[in-house]
Amino acid sequence: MSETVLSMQHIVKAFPGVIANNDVTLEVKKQSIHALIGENGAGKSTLMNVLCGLHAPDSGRIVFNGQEVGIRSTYDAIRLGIGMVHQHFMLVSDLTVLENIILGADTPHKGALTDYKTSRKRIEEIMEQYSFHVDLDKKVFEMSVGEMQRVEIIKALYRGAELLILDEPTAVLTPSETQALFGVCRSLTAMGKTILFISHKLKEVLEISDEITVMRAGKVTGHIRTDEADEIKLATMMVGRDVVLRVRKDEAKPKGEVLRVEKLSALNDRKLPAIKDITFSVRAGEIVGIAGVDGNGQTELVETLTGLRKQTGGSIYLNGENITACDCLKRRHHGISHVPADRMVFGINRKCSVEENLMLSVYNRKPYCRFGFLNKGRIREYAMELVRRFGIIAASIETLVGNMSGGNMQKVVVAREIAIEPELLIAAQPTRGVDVGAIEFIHNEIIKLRDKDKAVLLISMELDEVLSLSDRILVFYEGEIVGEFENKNLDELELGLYMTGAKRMERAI
Amino acid sequence: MSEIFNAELVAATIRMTAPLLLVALGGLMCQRAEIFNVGLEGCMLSGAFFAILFIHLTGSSFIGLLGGIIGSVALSLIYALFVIRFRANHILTSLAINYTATGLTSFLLLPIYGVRGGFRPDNMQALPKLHIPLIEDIPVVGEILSGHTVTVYLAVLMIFVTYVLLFKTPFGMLVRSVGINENAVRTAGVKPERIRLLVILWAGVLCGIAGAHLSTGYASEFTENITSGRGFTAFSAIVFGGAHPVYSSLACLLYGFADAVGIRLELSGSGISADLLKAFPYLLAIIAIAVSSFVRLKRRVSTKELF
Repeated sequence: MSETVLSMQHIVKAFPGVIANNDVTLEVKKQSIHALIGENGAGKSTLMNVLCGLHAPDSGRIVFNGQEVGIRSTYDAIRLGIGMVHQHFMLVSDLTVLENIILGADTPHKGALTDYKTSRKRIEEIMEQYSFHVDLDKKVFEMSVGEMQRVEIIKALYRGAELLILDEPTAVLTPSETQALFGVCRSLTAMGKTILFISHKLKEVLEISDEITVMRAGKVTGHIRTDEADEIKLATMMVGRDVVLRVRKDEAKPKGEVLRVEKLSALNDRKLPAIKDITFSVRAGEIVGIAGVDGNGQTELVETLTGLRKQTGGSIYLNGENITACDCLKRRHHGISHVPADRMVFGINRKCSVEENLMLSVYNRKPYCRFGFLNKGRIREYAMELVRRFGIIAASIETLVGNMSGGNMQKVVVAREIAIEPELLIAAQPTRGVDVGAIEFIHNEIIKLRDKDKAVLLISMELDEVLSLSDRILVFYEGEIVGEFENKNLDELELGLYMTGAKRMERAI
Repeated sequence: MSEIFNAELVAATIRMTAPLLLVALGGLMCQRAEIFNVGLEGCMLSGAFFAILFIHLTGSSFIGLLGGIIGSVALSLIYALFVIRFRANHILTSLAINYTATGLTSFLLLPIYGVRGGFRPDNMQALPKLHIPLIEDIPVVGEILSGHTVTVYLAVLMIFVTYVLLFKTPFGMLVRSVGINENAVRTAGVKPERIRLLVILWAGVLCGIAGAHLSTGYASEFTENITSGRGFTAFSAIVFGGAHPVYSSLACLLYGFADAVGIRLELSGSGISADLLKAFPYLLAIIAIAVSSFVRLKRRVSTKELF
């Protein structure tokens, strides 16, 4: 148990403009679950990319299984037994699970042809051994995120991984999928594997890991055994200052109704009813949170409200005006602003700069656009101001957003949507994949918006987030609102019963 | 009508289709690996030229074929260098390759052979024609299937080879994956650049054979711009067929057929515009591409949350 399996010593890795890893040393014990935590941009991912051969370190040594190793390519890492499950899955959507698992330099073959038979047998043995299963003939694009992750883990095991790196594995999982993953992690270590668990969800880290290494700004700021750690200690090490984990806010003073949704229905992508006859309203100066397990119609609700999806019935009113027939842009002009749940697809343009992404909510407004021409100077000032105000870490406002860390990308989206002070902010997973410091900041910005008498609709899979921000909570289950609560002395367990459909409330509409 | 639609027409269709087939089968591997290779035309032209040059030097048609391959692969290498190493724009590089091939082959005619416009070596030896025993004796069928240049049979064989290569081998799996998610390939321990290089060179080989077929199996001489847009036709067949070996081959067959009918119509002086007829498959291609894009878009919508 106490034998060291991996030791990364004095790793330095610099990119133009930033030192991502500055003399980082990491020791991981065999058969343990070692958590690596830190804020976005702290250098965790870079360190792991060095370990799995995607980046070459500028200096430093890596000792694996007692031998100094040079990892110059991903192939080297795989051969050594280092497997990584990336945050954004490295799967080929049009290939079957089987093909995805065997894809690579060592695909088994008979003569020139791929040997599917032998591969299938080998994979089935592995699945048997660790007792988790996926359908090998399914194509990846048909799978849920949880299943895809399982494919990634099997892929790593198939390649003989002794050390498994999980990069923010729970960011995309539902609570029950997370628990299932934790079960897999425990059985893996029981069978002799070692797991490096990268996360910034402190609760999870405390639950699953044996030891924790904390990084901040490219350096290791702490190393602690999990049984000696607690949330406050970890958060302080991560951020470098005391963090308030609970949001402080005054009592809401709701004013008039801003958003009114009447008997709204819509279909999901498979043409099945996703939201059914929903009626609710959001008032100025209040935050209404929607709680629910992922996949119960929240995504479709957000898309229908913002105009990305056609409703099949019902109407939407904003400040008394019927906007049901308006498209996305018109709705924006009416004062709806939207932080989408999937920043990569809907939130940002990765190939554009910070400045260009930030101006997207104002590009057609005075003074940023006059007589059909963009006013470069004004836009620049505006972008600079937002970067300052929202603490976006970027080398310059011309940095491509695609090159930034996930948390900073999210800050760009949030800054863009909040800065225009909308009548209604629809925030879907506003802090997904964002570190503690940034979560605190984003939460405060949302509350500030509320206190300016704007309406906020918050959709989040994190119950904690819904509970700490909302003034009123609606519970979603299978496309319906099954409960409505004032957020005062709520019993989480009770809420859980509603979220899982065990209980429901008849609402007076 | 019977003077147009007869067994000879079918044989001509096969002859016309063969070079398209070779180029399309090579090019579709590039397409799968997300290499937008429109430089096929230039590679083919270079192949046609060097095939003649090597025959001129050695008198052997098989060395000519080899020369065609070398000429085409050399140009492919330049294309690969720019596209993969320098990450140049695929279209612009393709255009440069095509212009280079047109210019260079026209220019080299003068210093090498002292002629302009075209060259036919004195020791011209065409690629051998294959007469299939038994089959060649069957009336009509023999006329259609037997007696073509070896490259024609090679082209048909290549449909099968490409299919197996793409769908049944580890390499094909990598090619398909590179186009969809190159990072998946990279993290699986294979450099996507290497896969891309290989498919570009493979396309080069097939374009070289196609070029050699044009100048030595078909016309027995090199004339300026002998390829006359066949590379582009093949490219459109790739897209038309969704970069699938079988469907793209069928598209080639359609183009080949239109070509063959067009030539016959022109010769017969029947008054039907041959140009219009030749344009017909392209029109069909545009419609088909529009429809298939639409279908794909619909499908993409239903999976958009995942990727």
